[in-house]
Amino acid sequence: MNCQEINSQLGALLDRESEPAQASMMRRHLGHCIECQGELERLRALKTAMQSVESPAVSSRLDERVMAAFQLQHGRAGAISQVSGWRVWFHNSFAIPKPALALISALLIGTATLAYKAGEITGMRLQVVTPPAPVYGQYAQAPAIEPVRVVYVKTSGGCSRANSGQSAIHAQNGSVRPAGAQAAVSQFETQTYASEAGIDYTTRATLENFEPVKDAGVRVIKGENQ
Amino acid sequence: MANSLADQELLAAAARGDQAAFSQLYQRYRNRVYGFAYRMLGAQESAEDVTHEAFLVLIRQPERYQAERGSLLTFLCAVARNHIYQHLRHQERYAPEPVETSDEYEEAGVRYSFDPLNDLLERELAAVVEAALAKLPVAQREAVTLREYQELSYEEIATVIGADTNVVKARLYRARQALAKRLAPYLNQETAPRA
Repeated sequence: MNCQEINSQLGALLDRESEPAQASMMRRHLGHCIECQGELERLRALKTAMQSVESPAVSSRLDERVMAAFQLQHGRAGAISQVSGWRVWFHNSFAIPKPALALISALLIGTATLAYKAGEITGMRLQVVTPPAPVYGQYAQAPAIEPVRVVYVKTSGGCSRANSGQSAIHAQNGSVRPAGAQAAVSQFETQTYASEAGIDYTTRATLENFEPVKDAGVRVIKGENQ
Repeated sequence: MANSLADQELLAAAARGDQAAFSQLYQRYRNRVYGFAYRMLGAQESAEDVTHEAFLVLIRQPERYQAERGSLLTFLCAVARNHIYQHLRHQERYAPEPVETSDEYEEAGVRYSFDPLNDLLERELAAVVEAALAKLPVAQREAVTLREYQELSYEEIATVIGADTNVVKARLYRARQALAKRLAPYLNQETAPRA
């Protein structure tokens, strides 16, 4: 083997991928050829340099996605994937024991019926009340606004009569909507529970025109102690 | 080989819904699959998508892995490779192999240091190596990544890329020559003959 042939096989020698006979032949050549020794050292230095590069770190987001996919495939409740979160939620919702599911369903239907009679759902438009916008100095940094979309509506003391007053939404974390803006309610998920004072309602409402989407940023107290 | 037997056992348990077994497999190979994808695509989000897709195959179709055809890592890398090439095509980054010129490295925005012995830091070296790696043609980058970072044997690389081991050797040789040429100032500090 000449130097050119040896050089083309040096990588395999370093990788311990050479045939034994070929490897011993190359080692004999390297024993007396300074040029090929230099080439071997160059490749060795390259290998070392490449190994100095750290492996990229896997994010926890990927871990969650993969494990959620596994749970989805095998019907386990658990972590929610960011990609297919609604599918996991939908699947997991059936993991609730049947009696509890029936009770929850009955309560939801009852609440929805009462709320409907009280005129709180159909065509409802909520008055958005936001605090006056603070004036910031030229160099002062405004606090990060956390826009909202989902609000919670709580009604205490029963709901036997129609709600004629305006509902107020207090944006605790700020709002991208101007004061007094109307927000159309597009979706309700109503839960209710009995209490000594009557029936409390907690309604999870999705408001349109609030961007970007951010859950649970606002709490709405509506019609308390009616 | 014991590792591969353990892989099979874990995979069988995972296929039955054993989450702990799957988690163990995932922890064992996620970095290497992700590292392969990341170095091929150079983008975290795409690399995550590819890794996710690779493990989805284990979740949904574990029977596709056949131990007699290679290790589980080889299988995962082969699955990942298909998705990597899809991403490359999608990104229109799967361009014809570039013509290598002496100025190519300089044009990429990576400058040689005139005094690398004094200037070079570990981080800089890593950045330069990554930049040089990214400039390699896809097939060469793939071979050298699978060898140096995923530590696959030539035979395993051949399985992943669907080629002969001689093809692997040739690609590795060309990749290393190109890398050694581009990284010469950094390699010479260790290998330059002393007076």
